[in-house]
Amino acid sequence: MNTAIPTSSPHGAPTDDRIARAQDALGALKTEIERRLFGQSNLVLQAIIGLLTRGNILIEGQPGLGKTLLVKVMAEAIDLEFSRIQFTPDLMPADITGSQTLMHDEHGRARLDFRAGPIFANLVLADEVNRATPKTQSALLEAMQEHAVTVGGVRRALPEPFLVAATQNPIEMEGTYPLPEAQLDRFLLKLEVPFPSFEDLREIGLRTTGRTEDTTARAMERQTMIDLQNLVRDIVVAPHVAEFAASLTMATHPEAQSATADIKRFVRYGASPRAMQALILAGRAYALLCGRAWVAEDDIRAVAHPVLRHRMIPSFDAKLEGITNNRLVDGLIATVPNVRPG
Amino acid sequence: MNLPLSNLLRRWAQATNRRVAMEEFARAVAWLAAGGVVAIGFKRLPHGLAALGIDAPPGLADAATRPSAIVWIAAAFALGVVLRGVIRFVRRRTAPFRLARALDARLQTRDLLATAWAIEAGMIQPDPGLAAVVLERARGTSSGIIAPVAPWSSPTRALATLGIVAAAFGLLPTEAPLPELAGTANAAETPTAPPLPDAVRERLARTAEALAKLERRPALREATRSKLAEARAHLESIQRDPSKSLGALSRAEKALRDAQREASREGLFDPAALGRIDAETLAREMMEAIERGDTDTAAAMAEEIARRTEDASDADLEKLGKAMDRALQNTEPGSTASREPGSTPAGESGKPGESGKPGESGTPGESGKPGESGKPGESGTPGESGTPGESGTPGESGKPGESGKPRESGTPGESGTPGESGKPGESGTPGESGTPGESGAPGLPGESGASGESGASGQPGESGSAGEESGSGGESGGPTRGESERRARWRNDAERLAERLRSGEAGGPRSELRELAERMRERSGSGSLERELDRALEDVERARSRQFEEMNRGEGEGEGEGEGEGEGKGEGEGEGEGEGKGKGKRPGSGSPRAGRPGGKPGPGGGRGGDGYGDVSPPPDASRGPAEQVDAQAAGPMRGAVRYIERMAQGQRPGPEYRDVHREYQDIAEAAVRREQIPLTRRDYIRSYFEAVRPD
Repeated sequence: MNTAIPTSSPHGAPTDDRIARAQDALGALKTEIERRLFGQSNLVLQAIIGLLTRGNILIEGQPGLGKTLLVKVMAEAIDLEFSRIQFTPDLMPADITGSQTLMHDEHGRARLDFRAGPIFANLVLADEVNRATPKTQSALLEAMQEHAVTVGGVRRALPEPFLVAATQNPIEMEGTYPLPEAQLDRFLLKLEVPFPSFEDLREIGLRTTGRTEDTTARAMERQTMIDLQNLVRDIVVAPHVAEFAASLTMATHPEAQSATADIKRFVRYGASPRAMQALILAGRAYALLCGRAWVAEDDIRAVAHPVLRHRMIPSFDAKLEGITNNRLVDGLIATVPNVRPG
Repeated sequence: MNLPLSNLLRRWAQATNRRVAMEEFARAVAWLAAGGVVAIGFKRLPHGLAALGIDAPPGLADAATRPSAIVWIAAAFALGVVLRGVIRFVRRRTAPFRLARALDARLQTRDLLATAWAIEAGMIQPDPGLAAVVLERARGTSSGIIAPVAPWSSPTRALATLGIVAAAFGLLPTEAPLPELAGTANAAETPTAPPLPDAVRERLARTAEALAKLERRPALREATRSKLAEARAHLESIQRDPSKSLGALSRAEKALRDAQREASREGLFDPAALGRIDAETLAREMMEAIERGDTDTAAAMAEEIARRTEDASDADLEKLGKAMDRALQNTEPGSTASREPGSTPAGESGKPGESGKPGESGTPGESGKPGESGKPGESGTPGESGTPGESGTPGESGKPGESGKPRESGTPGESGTPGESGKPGESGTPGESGTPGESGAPGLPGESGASGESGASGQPGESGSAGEESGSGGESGGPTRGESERRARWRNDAERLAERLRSGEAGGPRSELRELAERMRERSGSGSLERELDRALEDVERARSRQFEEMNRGEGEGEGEGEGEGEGKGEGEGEGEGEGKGKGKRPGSGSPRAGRPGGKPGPGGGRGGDGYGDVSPPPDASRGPAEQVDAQAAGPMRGAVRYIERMAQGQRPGPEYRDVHREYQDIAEAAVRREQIPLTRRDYIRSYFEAVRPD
């Protein structure tokens, strides 16, 4: 399947074909992932957005909903190197990043060799990330941010494309170490895995319990994904769209003038500027997925939930009254007006 | 379409703005036309009302002020319409980018045109390849746009309003078609109503003086004081320019009504101002108020003295007692020094004949057998329509005094009213002494009306009752016997209280002072603020309605005569008053029941009931001393719970609560640190203490 996206020419004359081919390639990828992960179309779309933006994603859902499968299938469909780290309280940072080991060569001389950890992969699944201690979590988060690790004083770059998909379980919180807000902010998107509908559940039962094990076909080359990641950054964002994203971010702050009554009451701290960047970046990826070369305000709205839901710190009142961040984002989308310049 | 998108958008935006300007212009013209029709209709409205046989309200009928009012209102309306049009245009006018947004929304092109416009305007420098893609798409889209300008939106509401108003306007008669209105129309062109008669002006001058005195009453509420001042200023302006009396009277009446309303809502006196008065002044004012019958002021002062006895030291009590003593010594019982000017003796003020010319034509005196005619109070306002002063010979015909034995049958308390007004008085054979002009009651209809009441009994004594009436004149002239006795009693009470205060007793005197204040408040003495205010308002009302009638009547002569015929009125009252005044030596002796006053004492006579004997209701035996409830009976709550509960009830956090909060938070924090609390609950605990933090 040749879906390579041409880079722009020296004269800068890519045509609609570039966008159209990107859309085709991404459509094929999405179809292939959805074939394995049935009934989670929206989740797959958001995961691809995460991949296109070179961001990291936090996946939250109850056990058995396919969190791990999603990441694994994504890696298989794009021919990415995949590794999985099961986070436990006794996991150490070196277990993730790797360590230097004392080795003897053929002459009997001792030397320190670096043994790479599981973080050295394109797609890293950090399963149940909230079960490891904060120290170990920090090691992962540094790699996420820098796309590199430093071991024994040597900085080692991680392979591109690189994406960490961390999962956490919203139940069984006893004995866990929830990620602090500052670290949550480093995840570009937080995806929530919904429980499938009755029909989807039945279909899952039929498809996954047969004699033959289903395999994932390759839907995209690794280089194509890198090209697409570059193309996303070129998608045109008009000033009014950026202004809208900024307004949306600003409105998450309870002390802002544009904050709604709900935000003032139920939010303790609003989203950071990084959230605004994430809104625009995810909006670009969403526009490309829709086959457009420009971002619309509606694209920002479409990605507002996964971008903002983990970046607003709820107040005690919100916890008491069971107000979720999703509901607050709904309110924001409904109340923040379109930009209407004179 | 080879034109750059920005040019295209600019051209469309200009066309849209032209369209919007035209729409707003049409809308403004329609509203202005509707306003013009309303203005003309308003000018013609009195004629329309007249055609329907409805009297135009006073403000509307004022032909002198109406045109200028119309001009001002029309100008304000026109200005408003123009401003609204401008604001609407500014809001609706569009710019190229805004138009691009609107077209994107209409064509569902997801910000394509707006983004392309931003690229062309150089607001962003995107990747050239992708920019070309966006521009190419945008041009393709724009070439398919057929009608970028919004369709014409006609000002339907404005036009509908114009249609309705014009239709209503068509129903109004034109200005001059009604011959019977011609006189009125001419009159309307004359500046104003005819000037006030001298007598009325004098009375209004006295009313203004009375108001000035009222203004000086201590501790009066500022709002009331300013309303009184306003009314007085209007009355004084009549003296300077009688030609504008009608408007001034209307404004004075309004101000007085406002003052009344304010007084009934907030009370007459300002508690803060009362609190600033020193004890000497307070006591003196109370005693003087008692002597002049100003029960409102006296009651307020008594109440304030009672308040000061709360938590007062022995020295303070003694000071209060001494102040009262001095006030008692310095205030002569029955002294008239403090009497209000408005209540000059009847003989002086009463010129009953002044207002009534019709009386001349009336021959009521002849026909007037008081018994028959004597319901003056009901027919009312004799002073205005006419009166009897001259024709008042009725005294002759009615020698009620002789036959009158009203009081034998009377029981004062029941009928109430007669006490004051209707004490026929055996001696009051009006005719003998009474030259009505001299003794005539000042002409407040109510006062004389009361006499009518007693007259209603239709017995010979009636005319005698008329004599009584004159007694009612005493209301304005001096205290009745009952009132004098009452004042004396209050003085005695004050003396006794002063003595007890001096001896350092507080509780008893305080409740007695409050009872005294209550009694005085119920009594509404003749010099009370409330009564003075009523009286002033009544004077103004009468003068205004008279002026208004005069104006509507044109010359007014013909009509005046007709009315003057009124038999009952002229006779009964005029005479009755006149005579009674002069003679009423024993007004108090009339037994109320004899008069069978039957109510309707009329405004001035009012209140009766205690005219003779003090029929103030006996203290309610069942009431007893006020019950005291100890809110703290259950004792104060103790400990931290108390402070937490207070905080939960919305009270401001005090230092105690801060201590409790700090202590509890420390304990919780220690538990959290010792890891006794699950990790996932620690944030909850910290959030909780954050939420209930005192500041």
